[in-house]
Amino acid sequence: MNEIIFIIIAVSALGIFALPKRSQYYLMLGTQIFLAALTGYLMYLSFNRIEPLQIYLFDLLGNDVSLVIDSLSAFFIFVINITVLTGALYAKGYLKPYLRDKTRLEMAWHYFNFLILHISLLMVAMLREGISFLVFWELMSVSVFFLIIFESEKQENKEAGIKFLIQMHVAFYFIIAAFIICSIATGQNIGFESLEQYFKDYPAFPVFLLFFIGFGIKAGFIPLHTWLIHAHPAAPSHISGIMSGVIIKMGIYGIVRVLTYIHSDLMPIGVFILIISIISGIFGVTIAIVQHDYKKLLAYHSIENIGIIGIGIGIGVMGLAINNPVLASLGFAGGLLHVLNHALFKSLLFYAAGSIYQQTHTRNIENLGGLMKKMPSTAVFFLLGAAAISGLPPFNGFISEFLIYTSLFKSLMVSDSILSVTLLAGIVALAVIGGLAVFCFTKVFSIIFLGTARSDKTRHSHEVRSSMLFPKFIIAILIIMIGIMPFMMLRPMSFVAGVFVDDTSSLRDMTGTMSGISLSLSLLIVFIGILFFIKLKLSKVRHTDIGSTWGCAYTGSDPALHQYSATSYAEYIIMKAKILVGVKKHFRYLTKENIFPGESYFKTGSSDVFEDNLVSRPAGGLLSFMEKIAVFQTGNIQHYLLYAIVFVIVISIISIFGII
Amino acid sequence: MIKEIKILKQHGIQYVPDLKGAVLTPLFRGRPVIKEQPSEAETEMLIRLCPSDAIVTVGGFGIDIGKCVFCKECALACPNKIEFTNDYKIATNDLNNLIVRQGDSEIKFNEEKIRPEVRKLFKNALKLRQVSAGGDNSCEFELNASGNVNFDMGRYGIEFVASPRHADGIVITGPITENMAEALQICWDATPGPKVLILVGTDAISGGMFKNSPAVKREFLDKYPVDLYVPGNPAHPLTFINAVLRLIGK
Repeated sequence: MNEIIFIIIAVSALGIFALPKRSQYYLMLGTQIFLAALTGYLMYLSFNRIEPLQIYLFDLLGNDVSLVIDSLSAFFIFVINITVLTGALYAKGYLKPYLRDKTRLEMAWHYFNFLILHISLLMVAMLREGISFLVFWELMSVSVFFLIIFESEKQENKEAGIKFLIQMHVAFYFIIAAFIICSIATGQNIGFESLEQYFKDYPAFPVFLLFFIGFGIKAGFIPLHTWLIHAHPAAPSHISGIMSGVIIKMGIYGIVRVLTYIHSDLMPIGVFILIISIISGIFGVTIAIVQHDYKKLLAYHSIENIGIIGIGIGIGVMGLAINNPVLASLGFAGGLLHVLNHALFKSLLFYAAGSIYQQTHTRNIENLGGLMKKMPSTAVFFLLGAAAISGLPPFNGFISEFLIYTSLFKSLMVSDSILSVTLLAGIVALAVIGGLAVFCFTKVFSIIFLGTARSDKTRHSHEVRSSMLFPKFIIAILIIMIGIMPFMMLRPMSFVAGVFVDDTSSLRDMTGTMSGISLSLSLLIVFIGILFFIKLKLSKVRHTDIGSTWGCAYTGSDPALHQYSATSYAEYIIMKAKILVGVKKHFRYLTKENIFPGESYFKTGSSDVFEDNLVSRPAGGLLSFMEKIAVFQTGNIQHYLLYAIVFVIVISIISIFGII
Repeated sequence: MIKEIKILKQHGIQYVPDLKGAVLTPLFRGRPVIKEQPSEAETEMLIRLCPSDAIVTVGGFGIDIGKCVFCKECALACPNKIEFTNDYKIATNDLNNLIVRQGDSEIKFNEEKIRPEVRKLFKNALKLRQVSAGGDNSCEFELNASGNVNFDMGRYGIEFVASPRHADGIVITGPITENMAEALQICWDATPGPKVLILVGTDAISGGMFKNSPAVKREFLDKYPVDLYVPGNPAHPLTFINAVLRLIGK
């Protein structure tokens, strides 16, 4: 049975290369739907059991490699399938303009890597044995690399891809190192099973830290996030959506999987995760406010949401540490539900951003404006995603943040003072993050869609074709469903949290609150709908004038110049967050000699302070050191012969005198 | 805190309690009365004297207070014939009623000319947008003062708003220069209907002393019906407020 499935998948994957350009996509999509259905069935099977579902695959170097699917893996399988399928549906319309210019091989390679990505994501979520896990982990990174550099004509995309690849390998070394330590110390094979024994015998924190750094680079915690901000803008939008939605969540999966084996040292681990997540959340959203490139901005928001997920997980771990099942189950449930929610609304936002890019060919929001009139459906989807990511009811972001807030508030009452301070810090941090997220998204939405056009890049824009709107529609339905009917998610989440905590009754107790929330939110929506309907009826009767946007009747120049620019809207936060954001201004000074000043220029830009200090400076130092050494590479063969002779002489002297 | 309360007590009642019945100082230059018809020679002298051509001779002697700059030179020249009273209720909605003739005891309002939607919609709240179309700031200051603590036209729901989109009408001051003509048109178009058009000050009503200047471009006023003329140079806040109250029927 396994062999048949394997053969089908392998044939489909290789068959992509054999087909003409138009049909390649459908073969890839079909295979992905097949995979999703298969793993969906496995997921369904595993949710109804207490023990994880085990399926034996094959023998590797004497060890059994089997798929082990517990509720946690099943949940991640769900997230992966939804995001990859909607991404694949979106890719059809997004890649259409590229079909003309790219060769058949390039497109086939892209689709092939997309398929491999899906396979490796699913396998990573389902495998426990070490070597196969690492192989598929590496395969995931490599396939994403090829997907990122799809538009390889631009130098910056290639650089972004290489930065991604290097950092992924650094993460890989940390993970391998941690696995090897566990394996050697316990004498078992490399894999997650060895962790169980290791964490019983040895202190948990050091090896956990290794795992955290390795998986955290993938997840995008600050200060390990520097690959994210280059990879997301460089990749094509369907890949950015999948990267943000699922690939960085595999980092979270890794951390959470390691946590399932840890039963000691939980308090320091929990506080550590909480602090790193608070920093990631707040810094992520602050730096996001400064960005002008909307895809970079969305990338920083992914970092912020990883922070929120981490807050939930950190709270859960702290709950396990003090044996408080309320804190633990609600914290884990909130954090992991946010994994699903973030995958949904972030991919929606990235797909909407992709539509904007396809129509305007610019990623700079300072060049856009007034797109609401030209692309109304995309605008509505973007607004939906923006409201969801800010945690506003009646959407899903509110539900997961509500769960995390509930866990924090419920445990405030039964904690001692030090723990209370930490919990309060968590509450304050979540609130600050939520507020800044709303600020950032009002800025992005308004500058892109409202007002009038700030440049003529939007002149030829029109609404995108429906094949690109359809996946957004699916995601929007899911977002609203989770938002309005949150009790639907409580049962699956209690299974997932049950992997960590034995007593998930507090989640079931939330059913009452959740039903209350959903009832009031549904009433709210119905009420707004009625008001809107009344307004529509009334305004049909009256005469309406349509005119241009009021711009203070300034006749001197284009009224678009008198709107908010992105920088001016965010000015207040930029001034407060100068250290983090690293605003740089370039301009030519006017000296006393310039009695009649000529043309001048002024340019502001921002850079990430972590990237500057952790990556650019050391790399720059290393490169300049290497350049000094490169003096020896003269390209002159006589010099190289000289080096060879010197080497031989030195070796003979050394061996004659018996030093070696 | 106590100090602030004491200061408030010292101020007493700052607002004018009855805006319709207030009496201004006799030095105020309000509505002129023509006690006697001036002779031919005096009329000729007055026509040469008046800086803004406000003397009307067709159909008898009259002063057009839409053109008058209230300099009082004619009253100083012929004190037996012409006198400026302190009557501040000098606004009307009909240009013809602005000509003061012998025997006139007040400036009449033309009730038929008022559009019915103005009475129906704006009785309790009239939000206005002020456009200074080349004004010299005198009328603008006085309009500003009509909203202050002293005159407080806000008690009737009359207010100046920040954007024509919020407004029910436009108040124009200044002679509508060429540079402001297009902006005024854009502002008028941006105001949602039904809307009122109010002219405040001599410069707005007739062009004042600038009406023959090449920099003035008043075609805008030919296009739309004007709902209210508020004369004065500058118009007194009480004139403006009483005019608007009369317009909206309060």
